[in-house]
Amino acid sequence: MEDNILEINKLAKRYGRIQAVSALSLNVPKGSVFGILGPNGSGKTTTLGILLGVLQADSGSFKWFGESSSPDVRKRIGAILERPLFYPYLSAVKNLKIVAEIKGKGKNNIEKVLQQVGLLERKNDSFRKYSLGMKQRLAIAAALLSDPEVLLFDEPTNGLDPQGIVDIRELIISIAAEGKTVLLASHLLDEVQKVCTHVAILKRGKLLYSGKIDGEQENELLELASDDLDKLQQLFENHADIIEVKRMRDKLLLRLSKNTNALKISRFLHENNIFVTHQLSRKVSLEQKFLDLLKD
Amino acid sequence: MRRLLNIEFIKTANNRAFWILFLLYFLALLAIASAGQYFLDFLSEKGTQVANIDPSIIPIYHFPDIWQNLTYIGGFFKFLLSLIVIVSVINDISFGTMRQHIIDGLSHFEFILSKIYLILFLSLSSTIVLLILIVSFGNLHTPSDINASIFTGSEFIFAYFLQLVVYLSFSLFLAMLIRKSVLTLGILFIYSVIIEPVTVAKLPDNLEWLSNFLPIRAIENLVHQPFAKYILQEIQDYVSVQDVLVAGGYFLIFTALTYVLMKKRDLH
Repeated sequence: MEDNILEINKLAKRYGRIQAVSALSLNVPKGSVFGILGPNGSGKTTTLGILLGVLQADSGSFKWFGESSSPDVRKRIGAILERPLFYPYLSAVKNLKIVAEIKGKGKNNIEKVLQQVGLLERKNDSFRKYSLGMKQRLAIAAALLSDPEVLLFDEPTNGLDPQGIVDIRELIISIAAEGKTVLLASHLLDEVQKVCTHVAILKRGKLLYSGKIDGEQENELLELASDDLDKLQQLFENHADIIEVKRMRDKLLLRLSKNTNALKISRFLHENNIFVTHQLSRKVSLEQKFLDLLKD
Repeated sequence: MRRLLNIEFIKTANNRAFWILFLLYFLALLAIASAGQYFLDFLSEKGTQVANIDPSIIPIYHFPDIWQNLTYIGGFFKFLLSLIVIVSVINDISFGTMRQHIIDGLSHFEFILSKIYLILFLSLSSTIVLLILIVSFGNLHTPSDINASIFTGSEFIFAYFLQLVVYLSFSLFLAMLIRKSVLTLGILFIYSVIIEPVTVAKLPDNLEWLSNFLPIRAIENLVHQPFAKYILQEIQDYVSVQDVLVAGGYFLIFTALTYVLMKKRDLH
């Protein structure tokens, strides 16, 4: 059995007529970088809010570290939800001192985490003087402060400039390299793809897909073109290892099963004495999957 | 406990608005507590008489009268302290820090407890300052030929402390319920000055006893208005056990309601 940091069981929450989260079940394995991907309004933040004890679920349950939610469980998680929340009139250091008091640890890490997010030089400035990017980085510093087992980031690169985005992503990857579990909610596919090992795709509160982000898991796509597309199409229509044949304007698109690959198909064509003018193999990208899933 | 005090201390001690209100309150307390003699002297100079005696000899600053007199007057400015509590709670709601505290691992109960510590701190500071004023004014004004113990009537200082605690816990509850500072202050004011007094006035005779169980009346009952005795009317010149129990009950009710409100609601 896989070791799960978080198990969600049929979680549901409704706001008036809108079902924000609907029968959501999900397991987050220990040590994974788990992306929760979905367009705005897909229920990501609502789900995280429930998991962090600030929103009440209508039904369903969840367990962190195999335990029911409690303040002590939450002390083992470093989390930012939606936007950085601090006292505007307090300095970064004083804001972090409050976090350390609540967590019951981390008072000696303040300088270290501020260094990590590049705010050390501005540590005595009050929070209200910070730019949006600096606020976001302070929130990440706060999440790191108690050296928690799990980190939970909700749209961590929102409002950052391109360099800031790269910095934060690298920071998340380096945190994950230390063996910590990271939950990352994002509407940016690119971000999830670059950072995460696992992904769950949400739409209108429903889980559409959950699994590893990993080439092996995905079907290979093969584009073919020849002087006689009809013949080519006929040939593959009844082929056992081809899941789907799609006729494009001037080429065929084949979705290959796991039993075959581009080389085998090429050999097969050769055996049938067919020569192609165009052959291109590619993996189904997460992007394609994401768009496919969201379409229906 | 130390942890919660530390948290509340960092937030509060670094907030300029807190210090302004806090100092303003003590200036107001000092001013009103010392104004009585000037007022009586003023009346006397104008030749006004109260119940046929010269006002300047009314012993408002004499032991034991001073205990009830000053704790009664001292209660006038408690809305300034309630403003501190309301601002503190609404700050945590509007900055979203209350939500972040829960996310970070503070329990709902601990959050409310940290606000109750703030309430106790404010009430205690005010009580200590008033105690110092009473003892010094009392010693200054009481003629040496009066042999009353200075502790006679000192139970009023306890009633004063309880009065502040209950009133501030009422403000805490309203702030948590309404979540907007100006609106909370407005409703606290309208309730205290209009809604409750009108309700009391409209109560039929056979239900009049109920008025003592309404919150503002229950808070004010702890220290009854003392000055009517100088024009020879009857007053309650002691702290009654029933009044203490009713007010204490309200403290528990407001705290419990605040907790239920916070626990049941989503924190957005």
